[in-house]
Amino acid sequence: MSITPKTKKKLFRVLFYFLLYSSVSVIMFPVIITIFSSLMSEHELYLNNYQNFHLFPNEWNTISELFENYRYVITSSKRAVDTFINSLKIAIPTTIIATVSACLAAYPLSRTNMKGRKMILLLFLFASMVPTMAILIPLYLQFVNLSLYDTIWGLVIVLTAYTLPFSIWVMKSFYDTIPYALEEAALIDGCTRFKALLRVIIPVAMPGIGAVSVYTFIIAWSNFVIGMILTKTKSTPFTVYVGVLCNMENMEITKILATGVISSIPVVILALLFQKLIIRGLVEGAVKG
Amino acid sequence: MFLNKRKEGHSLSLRRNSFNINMMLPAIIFILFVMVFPVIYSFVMSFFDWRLGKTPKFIGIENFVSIFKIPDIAHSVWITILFALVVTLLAIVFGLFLAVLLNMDLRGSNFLMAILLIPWALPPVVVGLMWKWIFNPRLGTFNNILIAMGLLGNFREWQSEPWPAFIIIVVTTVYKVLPLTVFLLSASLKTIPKELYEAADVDGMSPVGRFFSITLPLVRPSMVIVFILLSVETFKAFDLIYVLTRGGPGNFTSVLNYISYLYSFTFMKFGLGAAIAFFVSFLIIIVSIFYYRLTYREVRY
Repeated sequence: MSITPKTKKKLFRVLFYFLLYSSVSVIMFPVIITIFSSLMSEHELYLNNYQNFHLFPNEWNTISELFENYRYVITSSKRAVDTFINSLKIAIPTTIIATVSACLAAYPLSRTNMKGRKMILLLFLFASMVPTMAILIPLYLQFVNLSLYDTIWGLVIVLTAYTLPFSIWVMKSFYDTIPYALEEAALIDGCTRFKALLRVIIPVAMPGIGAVSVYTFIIAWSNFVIGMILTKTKSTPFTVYVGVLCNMENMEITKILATGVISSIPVVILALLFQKLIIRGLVEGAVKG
Repeated sequence: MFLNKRKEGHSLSLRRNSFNINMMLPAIIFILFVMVFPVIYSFVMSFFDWRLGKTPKFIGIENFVSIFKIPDIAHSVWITILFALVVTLLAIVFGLFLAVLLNMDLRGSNFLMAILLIPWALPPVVVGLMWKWIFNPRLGTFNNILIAMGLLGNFREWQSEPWPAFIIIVVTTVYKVLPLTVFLLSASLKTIPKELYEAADVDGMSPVGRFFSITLPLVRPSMVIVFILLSVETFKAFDLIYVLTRGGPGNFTSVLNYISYLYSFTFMKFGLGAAIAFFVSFLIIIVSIFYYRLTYREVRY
């Protein structure tokens, strides 16, 4: 039997769909295993081996029993709640300060032919190639001297600077897509350049601002090594708490997994809500650079 | 705000310049004080014997010499480079595969894009935690699946065996960096003119042939960025290693960045730690130049 080009094409399509959905399952596999394991009781988890395998937890009757581990983490672990609040206190100011600074700094870079264009690009490359350790060693020593060590604001400052070069670059490429005629009209009407930016450009550049702020929040929330080195107990971010739990032998695995899931909820929700924006921002930031 | 004081006459070039600088001031201050100064500072530190509680002593390049006297440092350099190369290669291969799939206008490709954002957004610590759980010796899914399939007789502690531990870190890191690779590659695939594929269809070329004679040569120049991004990421790998193996078993998975962390923040030898960190940046630059030479060539359509 000979295969006609048409059936061959159909066969290829079936194959491609199969590949697409198997990729989706491979990527989701660890996420799903983690979520379902975090819903099981310790007892159920220990019985759940190759002789008696089930993916979904089945030792529960009410919804509150299903989320027992989460209830435990939220109500009985003071440390988890404190570090969660710390993370919010760190990530929100970082997002605001970094986004505003990026909006301001990127504007002249986009609108004038100043030499800064190349400089920022070099700075960005340079910043990404220097290992975080090289920056953290002097920061650690100076933070102890300036009593910024183990404070929320210390982390806000570092994370703002850490995310800024990329955010400036993304913001600049968003400004570049806005026609110059738009603010020219405002300038002729007697606006200052700053007012023209505020009233004319910023509203149009909203998608870019959204992308930059979501990106900053996600990085500030997820960063581990900066928080680990520059804090001790008082201002520990949530991810550092999770990292410490990972290497604890005496805590129940199900509760560690539940804590991990809780720490991912804010960033995953943000990423999924703003997916188109984030992907566009990431691509513009990297490719134009 | 201070900018409003300059209302009158905005056409003078001098005023414009000060406007530009005012606008960039906040960002410049942050980057200067938190990135540029510390880097210069730690570069200076790398020439000092700088320990906690002792007055720093200038020792010239001795720190850079003592890097090579650290026990098993040759192994660390080798495992760092191997790790970076393997992760980069795997991420590019799987990344291209997924990017090509995404660009075929199949139903569900938007869904795949959304799914890919999850590992991108997840905190690295959580990604480490997830895979650590999967490779858990007795309870983890991986061992239980292998035993159920009859491929494994007994539970094995993969994390405490050298090469399996290395492979676990590679798998986890690829999982974490894959999304960004796919986004960048699929954006560059979108710039390839559709007519080229139509012409190939007329010539009766197979999809595999199309990939090797059209897609691959045309995305190659833009792959430089992906290669450089990935090697920066992999040379700076720390979070996942910290969570998964802590550099072990022994020091088999202690990449240079982890050694730098150990010497700076566990042994408190800041000068030596800084020297190791700069040694890592030196390696990143060398590898980036290598990739640049390898992939960047002018392409004409």
